[in-house]
Amino acid sequence: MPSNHLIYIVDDETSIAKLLEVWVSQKWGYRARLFSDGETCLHALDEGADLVLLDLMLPGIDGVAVLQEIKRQKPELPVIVLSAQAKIEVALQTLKLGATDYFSKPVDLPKLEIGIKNALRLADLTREVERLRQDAETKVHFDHIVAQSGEMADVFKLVSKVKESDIPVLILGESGTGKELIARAVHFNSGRKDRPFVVVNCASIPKDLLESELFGHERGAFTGAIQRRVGKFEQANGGTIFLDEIGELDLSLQSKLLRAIQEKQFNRVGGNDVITTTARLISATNRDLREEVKQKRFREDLYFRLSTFPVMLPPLRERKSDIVLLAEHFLRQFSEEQKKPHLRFSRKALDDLYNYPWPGNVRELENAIQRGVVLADAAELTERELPLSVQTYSGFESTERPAFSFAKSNDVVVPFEKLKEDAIRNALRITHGNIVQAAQRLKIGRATLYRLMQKYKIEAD
Amino acid sequence: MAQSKLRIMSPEEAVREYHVRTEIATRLSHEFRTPLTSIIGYAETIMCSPDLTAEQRDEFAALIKKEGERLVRLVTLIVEQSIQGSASQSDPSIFK
Repeated sequence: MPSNHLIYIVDDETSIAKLLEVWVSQKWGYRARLFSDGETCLHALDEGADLVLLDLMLPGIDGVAVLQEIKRQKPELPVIVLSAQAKIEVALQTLKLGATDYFSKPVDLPKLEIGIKNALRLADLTREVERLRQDAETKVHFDHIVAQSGEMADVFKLVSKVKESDIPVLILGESGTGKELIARAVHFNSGRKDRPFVVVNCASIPKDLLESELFGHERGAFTGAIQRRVGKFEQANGGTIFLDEIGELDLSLQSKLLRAIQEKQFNRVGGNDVITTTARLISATNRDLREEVKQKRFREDLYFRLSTFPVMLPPLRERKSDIVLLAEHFLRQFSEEQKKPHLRFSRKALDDLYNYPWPGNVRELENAIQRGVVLADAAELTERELPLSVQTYSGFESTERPAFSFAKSNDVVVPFEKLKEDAIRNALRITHGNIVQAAQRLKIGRATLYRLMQKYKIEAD
Repeated sequence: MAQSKLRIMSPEEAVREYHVRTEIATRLSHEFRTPLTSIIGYAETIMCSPDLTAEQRDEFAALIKKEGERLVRLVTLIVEQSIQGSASQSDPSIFK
């Protein structure tokens, strides 16, 4: 299959260089470029080489020195050494210096084809992994968490102080406030960033399986345990384990977790070997753990261990200055994905977004914008593309709730007349029966309000 | 009666002899394997490439002949050297 990869062939023997060119380009479909010495190859290293086929006995700089220089300048560039010396010591030396493979001459051409394919695939995968790693690191860098409010600035300051320490961190906050994002930011900004970051959602795993999930199990530990399994604590060794929704952990498992934190040791389910862990623990919950302790549903000693360094994430409604910033961020992200690059919010849509209390926090806002971007077909995302719960909320003060919330019953169709009736009853309740104020707040005329009250048989108290 | 050529070498001479022999073996390997790479490689190319043009086929056959002749010259040189003297009197650079 033709490939766009460019292969440099470095050999002073013209007939061999030409032979390799025939096979590399005509038979295997790569692009090839020939060099008769190491020096000219080194000068052309920045010109797009994806792999180098390198002879060792070269005029001027010998092949070993060329290999060393390539690895110094471009450690990720695969080099396959072809040598007529056929000495095992030479092969070992070149492999130690970073050559991807070694072939003695006369070259077994079908084997060389496989060697080239594997080396290119490995280099492509290495590049891809590096790109994804950088992408992941960028996304979780504190500078890249979208927030401008003073409340979040305080959180970042607090979290920055603890990133290099190993003490357990407990992240508290309502659902959707970004607890996992903060946990990731702590991990990827710490000295452990090259080690695993392992997430366990304690609420999503059945209680019976959670112990084995966390600590692993030995073969035959229970029905279905057909082989030994390494748990999340072992996987996270040297890195960070993030236990989300830790308030859901049952009491028996809490004592095992306490041992893992205090003594840094645990046993796999059904095993006698004591496993030592160096994983750093970050946990999160949207429950009030102190209340859980009072209710005897959460061990007090575990609570004190976990909450050595508590971090409270404020809900979105308490940091309103972040709403528009986040909304614009999500609009950019989703409009790019949906190929609607010029999409903007209408003034009214922004007002509605700002006024809504976002009980589902950033996650709810993100979903609302994603939905809006899909629905919007013009250059503007208007309030009509926002969820009904956001649209209908705008007429109420922050302390006032609509009589009916669409957010909680998306699959229920409410008759329009019922909505109007509820809106009027709600307005009259809030204004204590003051018709003038109710009409103003409903943005309708007084006469209209009277007419509708008659229609719906509503009496002002 | 022919005089025996056997004699005992000093340790320094033995080390030198070893290095010279190794160097000669390396050079020889290289000098044999280089034309063989071309000969085997181009023969394989002709055998595995039914789509070669007539010019290419002629060119590759000519390269096989040329590299074969190189091998013949090498064999001649090695035979002459082995008649003339021992390894300790040889100069590995003659194979360059």
